[in-house]
Amino acid sequence: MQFISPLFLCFLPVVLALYYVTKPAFRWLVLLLSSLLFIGILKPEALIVLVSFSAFTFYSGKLIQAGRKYRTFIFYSALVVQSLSLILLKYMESEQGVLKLVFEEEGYRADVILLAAGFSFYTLQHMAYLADIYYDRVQADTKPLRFLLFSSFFAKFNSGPLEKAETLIAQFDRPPVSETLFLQGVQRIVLGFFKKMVLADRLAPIVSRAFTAQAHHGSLAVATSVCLFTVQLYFDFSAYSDIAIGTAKLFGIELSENFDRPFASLSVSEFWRRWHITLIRWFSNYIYYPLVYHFRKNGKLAVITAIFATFLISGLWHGIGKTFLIWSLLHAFYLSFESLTKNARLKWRHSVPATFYRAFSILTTFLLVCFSNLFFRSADMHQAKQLLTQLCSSPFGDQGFMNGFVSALAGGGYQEALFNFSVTVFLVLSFLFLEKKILARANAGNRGYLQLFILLVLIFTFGVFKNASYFIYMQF
Amino acid sequence: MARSTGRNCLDLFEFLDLIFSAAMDPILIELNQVFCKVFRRKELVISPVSNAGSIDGWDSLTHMELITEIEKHFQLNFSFNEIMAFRNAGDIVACIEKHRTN
Amino acid sequence: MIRKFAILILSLLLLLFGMEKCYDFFLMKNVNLKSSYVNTHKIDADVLFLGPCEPLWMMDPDLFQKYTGLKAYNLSTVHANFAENQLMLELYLRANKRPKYLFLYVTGESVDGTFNVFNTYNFPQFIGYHRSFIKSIVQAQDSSYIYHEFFPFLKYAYYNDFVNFNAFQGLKHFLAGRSIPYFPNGYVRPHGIVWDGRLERFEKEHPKGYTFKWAPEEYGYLLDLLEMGYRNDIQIILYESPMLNEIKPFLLNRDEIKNKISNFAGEYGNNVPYWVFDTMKISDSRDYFFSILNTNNKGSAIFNKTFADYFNQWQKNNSSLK
Repeated sequence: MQFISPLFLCFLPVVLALYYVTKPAFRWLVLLLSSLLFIGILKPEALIVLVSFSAFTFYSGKLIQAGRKYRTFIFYSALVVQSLSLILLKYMESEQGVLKLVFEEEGYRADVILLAAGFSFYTLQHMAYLADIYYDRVQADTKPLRFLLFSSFFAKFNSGPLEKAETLIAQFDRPPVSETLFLQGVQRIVLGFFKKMVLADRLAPIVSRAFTAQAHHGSLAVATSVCLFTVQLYFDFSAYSDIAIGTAKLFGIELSENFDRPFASLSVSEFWRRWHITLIRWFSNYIYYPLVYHFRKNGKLAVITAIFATFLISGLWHGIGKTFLIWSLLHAFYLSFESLTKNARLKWRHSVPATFYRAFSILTTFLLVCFSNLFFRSADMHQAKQLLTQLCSSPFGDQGFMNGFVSALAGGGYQEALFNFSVTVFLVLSFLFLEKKILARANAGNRGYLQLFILLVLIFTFGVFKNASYFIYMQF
Repeated sequence: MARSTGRNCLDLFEFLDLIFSAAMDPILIELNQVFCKVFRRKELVISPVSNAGSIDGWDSLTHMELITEIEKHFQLNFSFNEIMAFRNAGDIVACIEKHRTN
Repeated sequence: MIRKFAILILSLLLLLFGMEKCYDFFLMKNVNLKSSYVNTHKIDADVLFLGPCEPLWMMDPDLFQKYTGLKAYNLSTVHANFAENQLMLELYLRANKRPKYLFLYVTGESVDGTFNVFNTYNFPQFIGYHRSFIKSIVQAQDSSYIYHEFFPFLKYAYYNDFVNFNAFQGLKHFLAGRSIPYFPNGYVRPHGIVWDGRLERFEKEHPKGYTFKWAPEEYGYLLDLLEMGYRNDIQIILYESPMLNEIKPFLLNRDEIKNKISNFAGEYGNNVPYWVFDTMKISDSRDYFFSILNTNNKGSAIFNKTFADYFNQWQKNNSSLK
């Protein structure tokens, strides 16, 4: 089930009503049944996959905890099964050309997406769960249905945030009932709808035109579209996260934040502490740090090797393809460069005015990330090469500023196209400028009614209702 | 690791804490020397609450380098679980003390 | 909390209701919105041109009047299928006298069902009014859309990328008291014409050629249009303007479709003629076209003259027969 759909808007109030009329001791059961319905309603096969893998992980965890002689064998075997399943899924997606189709306005092949709904995300959580048991950080859970709820909890099922089993399961058993939390939940959900429908989906056709070469874009229009894709991706995914976090709050459950104003980052390493936080935390805790720890006697070489390994695996997790490979290598290079030049950059920082340093760092980081996203978004290397060629061509494609840049981005020189484009740019820039205050008000709960009202009016006035698209990260 | 905000100065509580801790804890003083060496700043002063958010240059890319230097200086080996549990300099001090006691 | 939420929701509903009424009003005041304009202004043309982009960008009523003496209006809308053509005619007839002649553009694409569409965003201001007829067509063409009527403003929210600008422009027209559209006779002269590459894309997509379908949902509305003409005593004439000869080898059943259209119109339209202009010299050269079926200004000028002359001759023959 999609968050942005009439079905979910009917589903949620019903589940809420059932949840609050049920005795507290059995509320987790309402969540479990609702989650299974949420997953199974569109694709029952996805439910079978989920239940099978959850059972596999749960009982592997118990065996690892109980066993002395065979715990290492069980642990690594379970990891191999989970990893191979993930690789197989990614291969199926790339073979069927499902990858990137979610970006295209014409549609997508839903089969593999729906079958594997949430798989990439809950598999990582399962692997983390087994690793924590193996390394004696946590005790194996003793209640299989609670564990199934952890895997299937509908608020975070589709695309995270990634949670630790022990933290989330503890909340299922004793969720606090709080009016403030409920209000915060509503605020976050509406904020998510706004970001997705008003910001991300209005940017989507602008970006799509450049990437499918429908218009004769000059280099400036291509560069702008590539940057706008990063902004679109942020709004799209953070919208999903807002709705996920908001939905969980309605039930008194706190999920982890996934974004922290990433465009305010002063370096690529800081960017990765503000973007898709829970995924990066997973990769840091279970890939990067273990590698660096084991090879720490090798100093910087260990760090760089770990960076490359982490990002290559991350690229693989996102998808099998040359474009994802290049995307991951670019980020590995960025971070390696930062690691090797840390002290020199610190010295430079203290020698220039603070405002200049901030502005320069934010802009450079943003452009570096956007450049890597050119590959992330491209359907294949052919499209990426085409865009790179266009980036080196004349700024306005021989058509002047209005036709070669503004009209190209707007999708035509007609007044209507320019009007819609101007509205989109205004809304995006205003939101980015006010984002900190908006989020603070959304998290305040009681003081956010006016903001809630304004966001709802803006959703109705400027939101994209028809051709409602899937969230971009649902394809991963 | 908490994100780096680039703050170099301490707030009042950190300052008081530093004075108090420094008077009480020689490990912290030694640890400070390691921090100065790794981050190449002689004037750097840490307190038990110092973390990656308050020390410029301390993040995931330099964390293990710092830990390696600490291990070398204090002649011990932290386990992976111990390293992952560090939230601030105070945690590191407590862990060093535990190792020394053992 | 419940009280505050209730106030919030009620205020929102009230505001959305108010916005919907404003949009209803201003969209009807927008003279550049053809569906609103023809329904609120006296045009009273003797001749109407109707169809999708091909007649919209090709048939100039002023030229037609110059050559025939008959006042004409171009009722065509972009990318429109027969259902939309029928709705446009219905809206026109509710405010204007019936025309003597209606020239309806029909080609293989028109009856195929996969090329032209029903552009619902042209008509949300009418949903709620003229309930039965307009609603029935909108419901048939865009079945889930009609339910948006039951929540305030949702019918506009659904198409806000079209209606926001049009409502804003309608407000401008209302404040300025404007009564004449930018294209006063309905003909949209295309500007900045460059070869659009549609021919190349078509050949790439269908290297072995394309077979048009005879889609029931399309010729059903064609039949409705013919009946509408008959009921209102309008002489409907079907026609096909010149197309680039380069495309013809890729249209595998072109002759079959032409004959089907001709027989259909003859039988069900009670002898409605079908004029096919496929032997004109301009069809040989891209110099007169910017797309497979669309002539540029040079080609349009030639075709308008040819068409008007043909009509004059037909009229003379018809009156001499009578």
